Amino acid sequence: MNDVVRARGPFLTLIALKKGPKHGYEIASYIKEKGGGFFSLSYGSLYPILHNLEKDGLIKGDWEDVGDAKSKKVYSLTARGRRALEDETVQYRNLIKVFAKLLEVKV
Amino acid sequence: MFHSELKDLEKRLKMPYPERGDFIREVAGDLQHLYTKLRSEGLSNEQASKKALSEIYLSHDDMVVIDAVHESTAAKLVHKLPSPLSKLIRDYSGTVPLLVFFIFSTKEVSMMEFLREGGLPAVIAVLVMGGVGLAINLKHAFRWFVLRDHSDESLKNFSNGPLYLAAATLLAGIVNTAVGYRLVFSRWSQDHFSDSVARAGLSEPLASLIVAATAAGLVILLHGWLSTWRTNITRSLRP
Repeated sequence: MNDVVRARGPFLTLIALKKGPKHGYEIASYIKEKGGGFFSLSYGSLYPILHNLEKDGLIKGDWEDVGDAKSKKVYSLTARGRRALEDETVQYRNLIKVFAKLLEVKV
Repeated sequence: MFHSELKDLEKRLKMPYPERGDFIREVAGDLQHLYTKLRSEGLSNEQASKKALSEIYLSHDDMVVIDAVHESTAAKLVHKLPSPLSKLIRDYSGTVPLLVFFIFSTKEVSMMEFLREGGLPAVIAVLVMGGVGLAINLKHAFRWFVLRDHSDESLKNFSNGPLYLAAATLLAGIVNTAVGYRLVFSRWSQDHFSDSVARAGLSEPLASLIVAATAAGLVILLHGWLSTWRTNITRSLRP
């Protein structure tokens, strides 16, 4: 199960950012809540995903001041990231349909 | 808050600066956010700190993964090589431009003549000392800027040895030049050669000083720049 979550980590992160910018903690919480607890990304595995996505230009990180000379890093989808999310979503929909057929279940 | 934990994390990470500093700031921001949320939920200061640190925790494997994300392409290539070759490249690749320059310049007849004028054995000693000082600094430059190895070990392994070599280089150049002038003046005063020959002879010892000053100056400039960069890079971390 951990391998499944890790493999889907980038996609889950892009989904989490679809509705708006979030920082690391909010992304991890969103994935856990919306996934009904099925998906749970630890911070240890989330940070490399975020940094890789940023390096690939799919998300961008901006610093937000939170007072007392502190700041937090907030991530948002780039245009390229939105396109990648749409492409991946189409692939998943097709995958679901194919598996539904194979398993003879209604989706 | 969380200063000691963040400092510990900074030391254990190997990713280069300024990315390391930025990442620590990011973790600090997330820790602070979670701590504030937990406090608003009624947890005590100690409970909230403990819970925040247990949730936002990076294991050794996590750090290896995130270090790999920020590893430079050159470092990735070098790490793939067998260990002895990898070490050779890390230690000596920086000196390649120096060697190329040296080989190129020795093929120039005018350069060799110039070096001979200053007294070849002494000039060679000057070149070797200055060259070693430059090679040491170029090794650091290669590690820090090409391999982007900003690990504790790499940053700490930076001494003032090249500055002493620069001083020795300059001193050798000055002494050799002074000895050269001493010889010229001595023979000139004993009428061993004419005035015109003496005038030509007065310029020759300067070759040693020129080479020494150039080598020492380059060593000092490069060392100063590396030292300033090293100080600033580790100051970039301010959670």
